[in-house]
Amino acid sequence: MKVYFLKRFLELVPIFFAISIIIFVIMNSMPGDPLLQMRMQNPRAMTNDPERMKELREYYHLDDPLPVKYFTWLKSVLTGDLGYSSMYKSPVIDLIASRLPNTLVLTITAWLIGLVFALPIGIISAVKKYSTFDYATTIFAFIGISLPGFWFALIAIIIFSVNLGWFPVSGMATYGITGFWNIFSDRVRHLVLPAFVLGLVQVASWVRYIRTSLLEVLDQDYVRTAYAKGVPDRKVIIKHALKNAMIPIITIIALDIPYFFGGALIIETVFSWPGMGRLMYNAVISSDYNLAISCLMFLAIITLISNLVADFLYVMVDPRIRMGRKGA
Amino acid sequence: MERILEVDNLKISFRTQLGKITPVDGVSFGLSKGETLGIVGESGCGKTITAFSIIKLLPKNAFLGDKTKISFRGRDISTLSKEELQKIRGKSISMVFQEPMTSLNPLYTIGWQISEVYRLHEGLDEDDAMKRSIEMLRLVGIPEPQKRVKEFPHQLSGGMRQRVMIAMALACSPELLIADEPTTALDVTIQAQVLELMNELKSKFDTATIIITHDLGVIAEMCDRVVVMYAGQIVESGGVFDIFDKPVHPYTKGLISSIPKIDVAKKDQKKLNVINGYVPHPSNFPEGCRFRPRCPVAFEKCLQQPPVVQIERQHSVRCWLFEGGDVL
Amino acid sequence: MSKFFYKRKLDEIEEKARPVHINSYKQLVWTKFKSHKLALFGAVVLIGVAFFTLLGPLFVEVGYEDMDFSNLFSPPLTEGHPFGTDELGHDVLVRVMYGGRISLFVGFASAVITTLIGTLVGLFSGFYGGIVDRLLMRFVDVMLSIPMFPILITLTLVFGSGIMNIILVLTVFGWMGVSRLVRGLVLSIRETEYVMSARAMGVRNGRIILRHVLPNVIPIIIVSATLNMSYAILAESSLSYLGLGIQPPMPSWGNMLQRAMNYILGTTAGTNPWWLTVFPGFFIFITVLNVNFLGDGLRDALDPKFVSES
Repeated sequence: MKVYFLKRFLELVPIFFAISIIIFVIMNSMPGDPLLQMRMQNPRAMTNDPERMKELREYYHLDDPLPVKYFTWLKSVLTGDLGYSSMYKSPVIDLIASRLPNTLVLTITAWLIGLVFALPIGIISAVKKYSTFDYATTIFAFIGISLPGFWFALIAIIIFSVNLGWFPVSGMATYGITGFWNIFSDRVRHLVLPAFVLGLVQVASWVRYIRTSLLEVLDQDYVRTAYAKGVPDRKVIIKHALKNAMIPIITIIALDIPYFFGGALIIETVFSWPGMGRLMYNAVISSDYNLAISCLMFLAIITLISNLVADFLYVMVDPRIRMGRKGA
Repeated sequence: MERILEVDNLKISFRTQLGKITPVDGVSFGLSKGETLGIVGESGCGKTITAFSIIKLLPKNAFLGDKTKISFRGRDISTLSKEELQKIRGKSISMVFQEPMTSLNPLYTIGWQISEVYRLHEGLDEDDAMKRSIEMLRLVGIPEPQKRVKEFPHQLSGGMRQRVMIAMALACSPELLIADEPTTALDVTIQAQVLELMNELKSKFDTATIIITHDLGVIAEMCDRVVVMYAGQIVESGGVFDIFDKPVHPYTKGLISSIPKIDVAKKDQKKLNVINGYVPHPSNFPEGCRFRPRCPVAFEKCLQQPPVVQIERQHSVRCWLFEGGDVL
Repeated sequence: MSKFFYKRKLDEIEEKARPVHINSYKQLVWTKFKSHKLALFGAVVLIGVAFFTLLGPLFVEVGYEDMDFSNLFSPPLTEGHPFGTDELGHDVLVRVMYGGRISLFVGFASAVITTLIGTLVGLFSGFYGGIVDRLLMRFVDVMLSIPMFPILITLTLVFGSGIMNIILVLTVFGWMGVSRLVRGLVLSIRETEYVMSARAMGVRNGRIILRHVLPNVIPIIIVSATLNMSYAILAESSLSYLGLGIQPPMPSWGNMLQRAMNYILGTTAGTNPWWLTVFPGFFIFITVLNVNFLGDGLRDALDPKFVSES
């Protein structure tokens, strides 16, 4: 099995390079000259001297042909040098490292919220197909996937923060709070609204998927065999059906992790949450090349990792894959 | 001779988006202890649903007719509650299904799946149940049962899986075994083995057996009595010799004569008989006798539902041609 | 809770359900569609929205740029302003109508273009196979595994804002999902016996595609198109909300929300103009919702194997 994973990992390497090329090409199609950008952002620090400018152009490889630029960039990335952010004036790595935990807190909480709600609702609506609960869930699921995330966030803020005052409007923490429990509860209060908004929208798509997976399994012959053996309903559903349905469900839940990061971008913007999503957004619109491209690559890596994780889980649960095919 | 099963006026309907469909209407048959009954008919005649309805293994949108009665050992089981029915399934009445490839749960060992019946119906603990399962595997002719017991279904061949299904079904020595096309999905040589096994076990356990099939060869091999179904009704029923030597219903005659015979001398060989037309869909049953459109000897009276008439002691037929006999 | 029935026998259902005779595929599709209540609801609402956005402005005298200085930040149901006004006195109702035109147009155009491209690519790739197919699908797989939204943001900067550019942005990568679906279907149809026998009879590939493959692919592309339309509307409004899509003064539901966000905590005058947030977003929501209802109904109706229990 270790061989299997090594193989999968190696398969991801060319994909990683392919993604890096695509991202690189897109980023380099953005209009604007970097040196001009730097001068606009920092008129005093930048020279006007054409000689010096030429040196800088060479130093930054600005006039090299695209493939050369790509490889220079790739080389520095692989050695851990992500460059300098022109907007924040600090190394990109530091910026990402400082913002990443905030996004992780948000995404993991939202992911957990998603699971906690989606699993039971999905299972029950599959088991009680066509019941009122099922119809209500279906409508709720439709609503969830049709809601614009940012609008849902805005409405939530209007209702819960502005009108009811239960939660703060934005940010991750309030300044000047002391004492562990105070800080903790303050952080939680800031986390609730963004995490729920991010999580509930995901619940909608998961619920439908869970329902469909379970329904498919319930249609299988071996479930009918279990009923024919006299196994009581609850046991059939939990021991026979659910275990089989979990295979595709786990895969999707793991594969959706990148979407949480993507969704976090908008949520972080609405809630002014100091995370990677907002960092990425700011970088892209200010043409902060190094920061932007590093953020995008980071997202790509997260995607590849979650693919690997999904694979891993799949293999763990399904004995057919785990053992390979033996016997006639 | 105790009457194990008595099915009276079985009518099964389904409620669908397209309206109400009644694929089975007016089916009556019975079975004594130790007897083997064959239900034969083409695909789509309703024989499988008939078999499933005995232990109510039909989907939620199915319902039985008002006058339908299903008596198992004198008890009407068609009105039992969920829990009571679960006590009967797998213990007093068992089923073997058509597709051994998909009828076993891929995520559990075959040992676990067989011992499930023991744990459920005889209250045995895991170890005892496993011991009994190993015994059953030995009984159905699986070599090295102690090793096999820990294997997963995908590690076994089709024939072996069907043996496992039989082991599971006979584990608690049921009084009635219902086998739905038990050998249809198997290779011919394996078919013979499995049928032989079934005969052996039948006499050993003295189980009353219902075999559903479209294969007249299987009927000839295994059955004492036969019931011929067409378009949701029984068109002829009788002992196995009656049906094969003296078929009376035009459909039965057509079936019997359409079997190619290899042991007939060349001079006696006739053209293969063919019944023209198609089996009607339940939403489109013809008026009156359902076989009328394809019947070579139909006449005007056939536009009305023919009665079931007894022509010999154990031989009855649903056809206007035999109006003289005692109407059943 | 069980999958199988335990009820007592009921013949009373006799009255409610009547047997129906289905004679053609079209009849089957229509019957199934009619019984899908959400889809019917969706179709009706969408027609309503379409009328509202397309014909609505004809009935109003105000333009979307007209400013009513006597009525800044007016709440809904103020005289002459059923949906209220914004900080510059623009009438929200009118802006919602015009914004709707943009969003619907972008959504529809994106759906049509991506479906066309995706279907062509999928058909070609699936039918002819070979190395082109493998490379193409690898590429599609790679692209589909990157979260689309950050890429979209980057693309808007590459191409610029404006209606046509937004459509371009949405279609550049939007065809990939459809192509994968179509290709899969083509592969399975290609191996069916009736296609193989058509080839054995010497029927030319083009005809095979047209007469055998295409009709079976149509259900899936219709459903894909509706899904794509709902995604496109959401994406366009998200991008406009971030200031990257349709730029003011042209109203889009998304950029109206962007302006609204500035006043979410209230204006300097102390009012809370909730209507600036609620109305545009609500329209995005119900449009997408009903497109999804419609798509779901179409999918169920067009799938020949699917007949649900009522």
